[in-house]
Amino acid sequence: MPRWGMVVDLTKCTACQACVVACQTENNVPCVEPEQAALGRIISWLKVLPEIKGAYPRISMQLMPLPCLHCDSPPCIRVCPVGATGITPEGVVRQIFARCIGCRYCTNACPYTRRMFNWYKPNFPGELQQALNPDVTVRPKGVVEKCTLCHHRLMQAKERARAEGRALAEGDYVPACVEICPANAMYFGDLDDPDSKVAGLARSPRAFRYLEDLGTEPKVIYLTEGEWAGGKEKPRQP
Amino acid sequence: MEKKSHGNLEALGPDAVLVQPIVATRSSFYHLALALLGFTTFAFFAWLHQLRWGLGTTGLNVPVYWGFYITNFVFFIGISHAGTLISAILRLCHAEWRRSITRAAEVITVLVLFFGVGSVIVDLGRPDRMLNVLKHPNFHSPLLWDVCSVSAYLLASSIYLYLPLIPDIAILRDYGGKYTRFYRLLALGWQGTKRQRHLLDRAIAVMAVLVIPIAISVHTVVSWVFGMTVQPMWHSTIFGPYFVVGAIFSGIASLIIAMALIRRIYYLQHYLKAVHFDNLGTLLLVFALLWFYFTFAEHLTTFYGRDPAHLVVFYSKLTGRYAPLFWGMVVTCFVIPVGILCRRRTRTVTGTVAASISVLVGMWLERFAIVVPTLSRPRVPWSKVFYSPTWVEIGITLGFGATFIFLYMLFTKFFPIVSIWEVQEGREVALEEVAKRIDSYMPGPPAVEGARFTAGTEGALQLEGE
Amino acid sequence: MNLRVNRRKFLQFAGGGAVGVAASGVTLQGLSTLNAALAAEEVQVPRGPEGWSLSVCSLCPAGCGLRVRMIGKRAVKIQGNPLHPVNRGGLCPRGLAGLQVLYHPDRLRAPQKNVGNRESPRWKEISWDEAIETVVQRLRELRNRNQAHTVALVSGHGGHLRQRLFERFLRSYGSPNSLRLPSGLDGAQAAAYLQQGVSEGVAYDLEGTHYLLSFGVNVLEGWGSPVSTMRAFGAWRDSAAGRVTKFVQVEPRLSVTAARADEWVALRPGTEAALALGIAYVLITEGLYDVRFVAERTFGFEDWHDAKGRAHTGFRSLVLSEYRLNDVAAITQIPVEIILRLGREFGRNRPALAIGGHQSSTLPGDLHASLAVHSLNALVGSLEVPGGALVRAELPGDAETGSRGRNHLPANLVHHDKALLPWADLTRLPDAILSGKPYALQALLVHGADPVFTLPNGERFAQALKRVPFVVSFSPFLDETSAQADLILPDHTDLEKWQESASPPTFPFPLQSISPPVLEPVHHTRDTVDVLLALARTLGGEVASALPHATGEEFLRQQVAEIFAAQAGYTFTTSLEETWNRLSERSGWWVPTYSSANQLWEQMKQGGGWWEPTYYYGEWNRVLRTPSGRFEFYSQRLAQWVAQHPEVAKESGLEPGDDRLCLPHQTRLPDTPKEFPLLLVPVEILPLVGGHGAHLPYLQQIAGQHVFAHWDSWLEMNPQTATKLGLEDGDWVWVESPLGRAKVRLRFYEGARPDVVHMPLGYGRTQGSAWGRRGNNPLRMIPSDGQASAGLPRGTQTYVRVYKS
Repeated sequence: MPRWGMVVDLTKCTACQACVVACQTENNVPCVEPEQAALGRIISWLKVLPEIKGAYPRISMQLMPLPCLHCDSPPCIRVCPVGATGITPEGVVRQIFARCIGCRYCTNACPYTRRMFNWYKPNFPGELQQALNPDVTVRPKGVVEKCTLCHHRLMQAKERARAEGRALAEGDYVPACVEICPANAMYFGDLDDPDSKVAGLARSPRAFRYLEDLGTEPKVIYLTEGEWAGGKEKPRQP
Repeated sequence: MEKKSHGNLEALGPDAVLVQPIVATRSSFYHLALALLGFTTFAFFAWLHQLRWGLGTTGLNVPVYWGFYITNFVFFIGISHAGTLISAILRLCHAEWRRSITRAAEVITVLVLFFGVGSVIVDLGRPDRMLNVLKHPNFHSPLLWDVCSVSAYLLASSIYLYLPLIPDIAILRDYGGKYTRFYRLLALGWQGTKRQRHLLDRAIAVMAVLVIPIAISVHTVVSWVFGMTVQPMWHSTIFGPYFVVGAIFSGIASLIIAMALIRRIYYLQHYLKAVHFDNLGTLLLVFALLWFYFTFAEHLTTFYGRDPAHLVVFYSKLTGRYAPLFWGMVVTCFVIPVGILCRRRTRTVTGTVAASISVLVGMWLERFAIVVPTLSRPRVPWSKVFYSPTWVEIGITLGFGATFIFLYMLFTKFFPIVSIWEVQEGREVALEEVAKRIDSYMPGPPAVEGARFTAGTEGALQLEGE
Repeated sequence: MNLRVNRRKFLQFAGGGAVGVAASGVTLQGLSTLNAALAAEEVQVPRGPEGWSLSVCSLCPAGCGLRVRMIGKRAVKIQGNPLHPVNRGGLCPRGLAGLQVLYHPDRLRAPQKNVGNRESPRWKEISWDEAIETVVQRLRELRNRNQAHTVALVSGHGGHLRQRLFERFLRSYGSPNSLRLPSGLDGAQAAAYLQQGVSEGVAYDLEGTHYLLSFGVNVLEGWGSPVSTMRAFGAWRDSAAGRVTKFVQVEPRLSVTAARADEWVALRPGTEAALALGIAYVLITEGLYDVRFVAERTFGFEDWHDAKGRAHTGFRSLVLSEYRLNDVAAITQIPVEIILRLGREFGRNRPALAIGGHQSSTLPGDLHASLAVHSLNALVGSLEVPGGALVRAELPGDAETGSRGRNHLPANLVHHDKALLPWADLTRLPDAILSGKPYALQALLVHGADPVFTLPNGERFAQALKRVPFVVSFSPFLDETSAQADLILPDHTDLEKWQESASPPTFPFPLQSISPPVLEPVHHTRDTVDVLLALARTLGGEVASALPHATGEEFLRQQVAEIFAAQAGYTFTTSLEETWNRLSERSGWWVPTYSSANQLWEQMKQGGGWWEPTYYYGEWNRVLRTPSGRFEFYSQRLAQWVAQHPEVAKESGLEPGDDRLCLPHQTRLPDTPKEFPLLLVPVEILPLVGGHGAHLPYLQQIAGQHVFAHWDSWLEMNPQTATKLGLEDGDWVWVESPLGRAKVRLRFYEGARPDVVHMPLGYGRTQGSAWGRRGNNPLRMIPSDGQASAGLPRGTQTYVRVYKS
């Protein structure tokens, strides 16, 4: 049984937020009206979080793409009174939209604030409804939604592999955010397969998990920025 | 004032005044009721509006997912401790002064619980699916524990309200008047026989014992809804007792207010005496000190631990955006009540009522200051969105308050708000019992016939039975 | 009125209420029904067969390859074309938002005619026949009156072959006035023209460079070709490859680019030239410059004498005498040690590349900063080497574009032989129109551009438009410019039409992408190419013979035939094959996968396009076309032009004939006016780069994420400054410049210099979709007369004051 995980190399991330929009289009995440956005009610399964430290001009800003971290020990699923959220055997923290009663306890229990609530009925004005992805249900109002690691893509990849009579190979299943990253800063795969790219990167000394001292054991692993170590003087031969 | 034949109430003697509210209703009652129902209607409209459009009509946002409703939930559940817990403890302790106040307290409990539960239902994004709680229960969730303990509490306190009500219902049945059929049904054939009395006493005693742990569990579980998460300034071990103390604190305060109103409106000065207010005032003072102790301990631990995530929330309460609320809470929960209650001279009816109002305001602020600041400063950097309620939330909150008062008023119109039979019983047997009891532990040789002590000076809580 | 309420009345009332409550659903079943009845909940998503089609993005000049997921006849997802050499499967958020362009509810659905007046337009939907007939009539009339040259076309950056067609149309019709929007690379382009003599194709081998020194360039926020730049950035930092490349961002503000760079050097705004020359000082004094390259391939480094025997200062003397480290530190407010270290690093980590010297794509930069920055490339020999500054070869067929059509055309409205730079400057069009000189403009066609909104002098452009009797816009949306038009003939959006695009800016290889339409048009819009072909057919004569093509596709096919004729390059393949092709080509073998133009066409459609993946280094005749045939530290073209324009010397505060006028130097900075103590520097952000995108919710939701501002402009201010002014984070403030004021929300931003405030570009539309009409356009507070007089690009500095509203 694979254990799906993601590695985000913060060194390579350009903070362009392509992953954010890719996620939105893939998963039928509605855009909210500006007045709603002002209340912070933007629904984003994946968000780039800025963190600024220091004072001008000695100042640094970290920009960190933050999807649901799919914790192995998720605080959110314990608190759901109706079991609308849970963790699949493959480690994906999922949400049953049709069962959720909208109490928002999970949103409050998540230390990463990565669960979103449908304050209103999702709105796709005019022809925008045409762009909806049939693989993903549009959530009704009043329920909590979150990153599913593009679970529909996993189902499709499995079907395809089964049809071709082979096992799921690395790269068959990749979430939309990872797929689009222009700087190739995101990796995805099976953390339990010791030979996979992500497992290798997860063993890197640069690897860390966000707020890992909370014991949530996230399966989204970050690589610290690192520094330029000084280049070589010799120019590359043409 | 309408006058109608209501059978013969003369037999009740001086206690007839206790039935008076049921017998006659002044037009001011209807005016007030209409006004209150106006709020109810408005709240209902607000709720329909919220159902129609979604929770977006509230001021809730990301990351402040909980606001007024959950604050109200904690607050109402807190108030519910007024009744049952206080009355059960007083009963078990044989505190004789309890006789005229237990009913008023128990009614608060039962009624206010509905609003506690209602607050949660109103807060749900999908109230239509709330039965999923029974269909797909997840017993890991503190919210489910809440569902269990609150329903147990509701059941237990309803029984606990109902049992001592039976003899009084029988009185109303027997003396004729309106709704005799209704009373007959509820009286369960009470005739006041010795066996019935004995059974009732036993039942009340059992319920009194049973209801205390349930009541404590209810508010502990409510606190665990917060305490079980890892969120800064929610994740605290002392939340259980802290919430229970706060609950009893606000419960006593609401009881004092209710008593003062009843006393004033229904002319029951001889039943709800200054001494009741003095005693409850002392109790309130004790809880004010206890509350302060817990608040201080809780905040000092956070401050001293210096966990950065906790400190952010800590400072947002003490010096930041929520400082007015926080310090307002300290003033209303501690400074004002202690100032009033610590002196016997000001621990009058007016004084205790003033202190109680202040406590109620303060306890609501306290609940708010627990729920919202933590949410508004999550661990991950987040936008500076602040929570302020919309008309929907304010409307529903006011509506809940008004409906509660209305239902309370309605109760007094159907049932005696001061337990007639217990008062009578007290008058008949209490003196003797108390004298016996005191004698039983008085040092020295057994006393001669007759009481050496008179009822009324008894204030100490006795723990041993007869 | 009797207010007494008795029990009966009361019970009636209360009972009625209770029944109402019960009926409307306090019961659980009722609740469910009620909820369902009040709001239909489910959004039904239609299904259909899945398919994938290729297309090209034209939301910025880069033209990334797209792969579009189709469900039935609907496009549901845009992804990157993994074979496309520009983006290799990656995409920026703008490209992804293309779906919202396609299905935008506020698109124009059919041709619109203004039946009101210019001041208060009223739009009426008309048929395409009527629309085309109106344009034909007008053009025919002008041609008959011998005023064909008074027609101008303003176009944006999208499409390359398309642009060829526009130009051919215009020239054959008889007008020289084809104008394009200024671009973010104009500064670098100007430096390349003056110092290298090349007028286009500025390119960089970003992936190969070992040291990138960027002077205020928004490298990761929409500059050049955003996705390929980001790919290069990812490649620099690939852990497997080892981190060789250092990226240093020199900029007053901590932009996203600066935050992501290896080092951010904060300098005083407008002093980029001084820093570049300070670095040159280090390179020269420490012997870190490429002595051989400078000796063999440059001009004006040492002191020299001209033909008349006049002595001239060389670049070296100027730098050594005027840009000593202490002086530079004083000008730039950067500590000496940092300048010294930057210089050493730049000299020692080769190939090193310096880029920039300008502010943004919409604002002109300081020419001398660009010259100084480009001089650094020459100093370390980073011209024509891997990882250095390159000049892209022309796409086959480009050279002859100019010659087709009429040969003898009147002078261009805004451009003439005496101009410093060889391309027409659109910002001068408003003045030309308003003055009516050299002739009055009778008709203006606008395609893919919104100059009224994006040009710094947009307001003047709007005034000028009122003087033009006939304005036609091809915009698919109502925008500031089309709102001033008489006729709007809405173009298809990307996925609905034949898409094509050439090499993006800064991309070193010639490239041409081509993709057929992905889906049926959503509305009654028409591809502007087809509209122009229809116009050409109807107009007849020379135009018809220059553009005999029945469809746009036919035109594109003909252009592809020219690529085939060039006998070079490959269709898009995987990067593995790319490496192989490159290798074999260097050994002299060209093994194409196609053998006929037809085959090439089919393969281009299949893979997305064609390109020439090999760069031939050291074609000095091609890349150094200056009078001296060398890289000119002392630009002789600039010298010639300065000699003709004595007022330039006066404006710069220098003596006429001063060599500094032609050598890179730091221009004088204006003093801060007392009443306007803060410098306003507009910033470009990736989601709204180029001023476009505010109408797309996807982009509005991610813009401003670093200060948590969404859907609105914001003013970035250092908290220290704000405290001094008594302002709080989130306050509404007025920003006032001598030209006007705007009300914006203040955001504390530690990354802003204490004496500078920033506002994002792209907000503040007043026309079109309500989603875009939010915030304020900082360009409206910025004086635009910087270069009006002489045509010398000059950075503008706008001072403002900020106070609570």
